[in-house]
Amino acid sequence: MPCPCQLCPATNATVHLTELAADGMRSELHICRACVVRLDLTLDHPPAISVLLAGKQPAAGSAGDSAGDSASEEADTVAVQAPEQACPQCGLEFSAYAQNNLFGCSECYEAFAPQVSELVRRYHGSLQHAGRLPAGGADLPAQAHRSATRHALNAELAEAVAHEQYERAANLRDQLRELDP
Amino acid sequence: MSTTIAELAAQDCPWLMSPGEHRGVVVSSRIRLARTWAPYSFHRKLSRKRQQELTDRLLGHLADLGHGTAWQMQALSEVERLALVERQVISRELASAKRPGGVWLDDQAQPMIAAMVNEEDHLRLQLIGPGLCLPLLLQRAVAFDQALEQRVAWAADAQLGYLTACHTNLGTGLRASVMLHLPALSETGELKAVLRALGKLHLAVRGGHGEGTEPTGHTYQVSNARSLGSTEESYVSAINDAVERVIAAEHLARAGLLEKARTRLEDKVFRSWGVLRAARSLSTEELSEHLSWVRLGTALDVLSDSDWAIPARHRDQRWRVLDRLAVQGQPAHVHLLHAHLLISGTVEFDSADRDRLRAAQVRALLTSEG
Repeated sequence: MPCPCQLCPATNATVHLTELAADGMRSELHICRACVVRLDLTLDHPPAISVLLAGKQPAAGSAGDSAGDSASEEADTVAVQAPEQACPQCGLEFSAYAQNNLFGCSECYEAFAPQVSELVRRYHGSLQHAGRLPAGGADLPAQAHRSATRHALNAELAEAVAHEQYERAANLRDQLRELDP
Repeated sequence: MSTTIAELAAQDCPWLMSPGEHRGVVVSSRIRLARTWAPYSFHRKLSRKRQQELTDRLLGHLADLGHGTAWQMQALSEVERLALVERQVISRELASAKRPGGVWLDDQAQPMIAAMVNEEDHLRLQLIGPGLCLPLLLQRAVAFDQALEQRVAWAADAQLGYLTACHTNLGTGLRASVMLHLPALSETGELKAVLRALGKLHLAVRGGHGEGTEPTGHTYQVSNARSLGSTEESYVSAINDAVERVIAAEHLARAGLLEKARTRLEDKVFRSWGVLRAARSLSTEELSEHLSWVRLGTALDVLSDSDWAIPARHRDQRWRVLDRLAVQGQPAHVHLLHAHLLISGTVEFDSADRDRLRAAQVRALLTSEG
């Protein structure tokens, strides 16, 4: 399953960095070979993932950043700031997920399906759940959580209207509209 | 049922009591199920108001299903939150979170059942029981989860299973773990090889208090690293099999210590026994370290009837004393058990006071022995 580069818009990632913080938090970054060359990364001692995601030019072992080539820095910034795919439900961008491994909502799994497949395959060694599902869930087709979500939102909406919680109802209606027809 | 954390802290912690089975190698087992509620975003994209609504609604459903007590996290002081961490009811992450959240606990259920609301996932259900009891815990956890599913639409997908905030918990949302006391494997240096073997089986080993904690007092938690691709029962069975092998290795290492290094072992055990019964100031780390050797000495009968006043026929009572010290000697427990001694106008003990109070608490329990 191809995994897009997180630092440029087009190419497939073939280099995968994992960082383990002192508090046990994992961060991952998937980048293409072209970005490795462009940023002059040493893969034995890569810079912090947060530095790369922030679009900063890594120090590359030199303390003389102030004398850097401003033209090439500008080019790097443009590449990093290229429009990034966001979850239509919650607005999370995938690079934000990579910072602390926390998605924004259950819809993110559909929005970032290619990246998720790669992450899941590498971490769990499998792409197919084999355990329990919610009652009636065994008959759910793949990606059926969207309809389950719609069903749950409709139930919530009915409850909110019944209790005259109009602000909550409006919020739920917005979420329903954002689901595919 | 305990209604305040101070009342809870004054009681024994049955789910962390070694039953004497496996001669004290296994402390407890735990099953955790991670769930998210389909209509709500995860906490990083959920407004504070909606987080509070989620917390209220989930705590309401939990209260309808069981006989536990529910607390809003904002209503708990820092020391009360820490006491719940020390009893393994909540994680350090939930304890330190500033956002709305809750905890629900049925401490009278056997095994104990608890839920964290709005931690990393919307709900983390956890059951803890003494000794090696993962299959029973899984059975009870699934039954409780099925009852919740009648009320709450968990986010799920036929391919990815239960959807969680982090991809590492996808699928079953299951984390099954066993807390082990492994002093002999640590002492003989064989532990590293055992840990490497567990890693190859995709099992994780952490400190006794779970993720991000360092092992103290030779206590380790073994759990499944993967949660997607196999059934819940398969994960539990794999951990059970691996843990049985670790227990056998620990027993072999203990036998080796008795045979080849008895004097060194006795010296460590009796020094620790002496410190615990006589010290006037004890830090948490010192208590943990010395308690570890006394537990080993008790398991191997290095500490005999002439040392323990509790007769051998009441051996379980000896473990009860040691388990109580392990729980109630932790900082938040020491604070809550002695809060009545605080001078008017002060809100907490300094660490020197706590060490003095801890030493007195340990002396009293080990010299009167329960």
